[in-house]
Amino acid sequence: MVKRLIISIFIFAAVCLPAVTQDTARVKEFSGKVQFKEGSGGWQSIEKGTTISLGSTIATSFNSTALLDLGSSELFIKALTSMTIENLMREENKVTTSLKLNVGRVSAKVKTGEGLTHDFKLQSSYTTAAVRGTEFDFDGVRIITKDGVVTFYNKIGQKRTVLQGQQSTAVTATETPVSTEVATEQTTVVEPDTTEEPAETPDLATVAETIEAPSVTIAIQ
Amino acid sequence: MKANRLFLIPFLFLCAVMALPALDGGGTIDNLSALDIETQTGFRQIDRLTLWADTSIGESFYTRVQGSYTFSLNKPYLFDLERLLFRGSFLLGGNSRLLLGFTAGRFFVEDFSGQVLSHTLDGIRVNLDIPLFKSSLFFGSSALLFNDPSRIVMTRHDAADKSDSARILASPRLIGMVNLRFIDLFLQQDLSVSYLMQIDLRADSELTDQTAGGKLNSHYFGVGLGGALIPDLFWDSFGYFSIGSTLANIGGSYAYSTILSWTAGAGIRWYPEKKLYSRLLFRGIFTSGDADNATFLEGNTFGNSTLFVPIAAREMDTVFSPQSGNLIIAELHYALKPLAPLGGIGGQFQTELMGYLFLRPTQGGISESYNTASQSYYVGTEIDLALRFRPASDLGLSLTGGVFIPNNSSGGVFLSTQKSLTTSIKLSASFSF
Amino acid sequence: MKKYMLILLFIFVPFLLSADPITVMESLLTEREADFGKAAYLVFTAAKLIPEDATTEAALEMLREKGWKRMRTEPGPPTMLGDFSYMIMKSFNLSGGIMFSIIPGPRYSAREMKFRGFTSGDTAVTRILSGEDVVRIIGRVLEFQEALQ
Repeated sequence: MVKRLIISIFIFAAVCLPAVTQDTARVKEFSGKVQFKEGSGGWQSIEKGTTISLGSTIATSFNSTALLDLGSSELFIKALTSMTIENLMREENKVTTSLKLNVGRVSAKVKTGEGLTHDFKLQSSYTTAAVRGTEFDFDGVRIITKDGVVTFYNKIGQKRTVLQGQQSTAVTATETPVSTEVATEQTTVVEPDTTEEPAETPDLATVAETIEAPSVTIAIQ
Repeated sequence: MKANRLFLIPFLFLCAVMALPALDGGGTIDNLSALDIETQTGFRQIDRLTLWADTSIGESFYTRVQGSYTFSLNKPYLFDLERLLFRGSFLLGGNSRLLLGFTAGRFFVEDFSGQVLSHTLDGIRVNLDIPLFKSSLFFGSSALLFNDPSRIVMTRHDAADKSDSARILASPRLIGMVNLRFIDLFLQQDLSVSYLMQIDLRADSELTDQTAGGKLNSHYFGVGLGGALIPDLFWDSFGYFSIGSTLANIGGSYAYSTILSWTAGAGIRWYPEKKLYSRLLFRGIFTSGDADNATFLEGNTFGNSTLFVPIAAREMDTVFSPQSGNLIIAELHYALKPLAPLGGIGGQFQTELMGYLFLRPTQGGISESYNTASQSYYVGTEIDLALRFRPASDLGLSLTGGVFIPNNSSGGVFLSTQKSLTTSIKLSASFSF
Repeated sequence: MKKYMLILLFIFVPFLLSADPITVMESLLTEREADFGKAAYLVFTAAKLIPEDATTEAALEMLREKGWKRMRTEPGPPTMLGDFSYMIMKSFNLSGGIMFSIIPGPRYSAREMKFRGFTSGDTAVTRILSGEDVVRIIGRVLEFQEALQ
């Protein structure tokens, strides 16, 4: 009787409770010198097909790149970049991806699907990019959206929505991300006045480190 | 000998700054040479030397001092203290996400539109940033500013002071401002809400003769919305309602009358970057007028003045630059970088073609001398061409030419003796060290 | 036995002491005040002035040999914006403004770096750079070089 009860409970749990799987990242392609380490372990060279697990840090040297398959997204890591995989979780209709860009530049393609919720967060020490079904370039302070929509946060949680073809920057952790028009204007304007005006907000990076960056979950229609 | 000594000042300042590692400093030398042709040809030359020094104190505090000396043919000696500020910023940690800051001293203050206040003032500003908005509260004064660089002209006494070379200090006013800007509130739009007030602090002893003018106090309530429409297309809009009191001459006797006026504007900007980094801009600004005004400033003759009087609106860099008030301005600009395909320094050259249409919403006065019998609303048209070049990080050049075509036909806003075709050519250079 | 041990030591110690861009980069990322020797190593390897297996000491030695006036050559933290900017300008042969041509040095290098978009914010030569700042700035310079090619 007790045995039957225990078996019934296990069957019930397997059927009713959502299946939560931990994804891993896989190296799709690479060039030059790319290494990774698991937690506080030693550095290991990667090869095509290498699996990178949660908590690992991947780093590229000069003239080196790597393309990672994260399941529901693809990440192109450019030269002189260090990135840590903080979370890769899949539960039925929801995918959670959380990456920390320690330094450098990445391009990301986040896949969409009907009824799929993708919580994709890419955080640097200054800013956070939260994305939905999109492609973008990010170097920690500047976001350029190539496709889709990115929400770009500073450490206080002030945000800018950055559409395809737009860009925004936040040069200090507490500076409000510049409007997409200001970011565009910086490339079109020639300023003949050489007077230097100081920044309104200083870089309070040390204190900003103590603040957890915000994240967002957006349902993809 | 005097010229040599003046030349030594930036050199010695630079040596001092380089010798004190904790301090950063520098300067700028600006030159403007202009030829203005109307009925006569006039030549203007303005040379300005600006020196600044700043330092950070820890992570949270910052201080800056900046002064300038300006030489012009009209006024060979003009010294000004442009900045003297102390700034602090504090981030409340944990996860509270709140940025608190203050700025005290002399610094630049502007409302979100630039159409009510855009001026250096003395005072204190406190700002508070949270995820949803940026806010600031400013309280200060213009009383200690120098008269020459000041652009605050709201009354007839202010206008008289501007032409009085013996007057040292600017029009004294108490100014307050509250700003709230909601960032990316919806669909990439920023919403701004603002309140400003100014109180005329001119001494009563200066106001004994009311025919020479009186005091003007005013409040401004504004709202603005702007942001992206589509990725390369941006817009903005603003509206201010103003109330206050101004001296009026009603039936030959002077009394203070209410002000009920407004200003509004909207603009659209398109950035087709692939087309040689182009920018196309269209903007319209409306400032209410009063047909009852006998003179532009404090000229109301019927009570309830509807003339919009800003504190100090942003300056227009045009040949015809009237003060705000009883004006409608429509602008169309097109800028591009024609040498961008050459790469390198080619990307630092820009040309811009600008067109302005000036109208007046009422048959009342504008700030320039005008034909009081005119019933026309069309004031004039201006076309400008600007060439801008930044050949080095510390050198900038610009050449601007413009023509203003006034409405001085029969019955026009101007008499032909008041305003004729005006041409201006300006060459300016800016060098920093 | 001792002889063999000594021979092995002479062969392997250089390899043990030699640097690697990834190791140096990761080490810098933990530093709130970047070590100047590591910063010099990364700049010179990025500019291909020293091989990647050189040491940080070799990088500083190269700096001394260059003899650039007003250039710091001592190791250790902190790395200041002025010295770092000057090292980048000279290593990558970047042209500066008029003042840089007249008085080349940390001060006008820092201004030029900001004008070119490699740095942002305060241009004070004494501004202390973190390891992350150092790596990010080098990354931007490399991106600029790639775009030129």
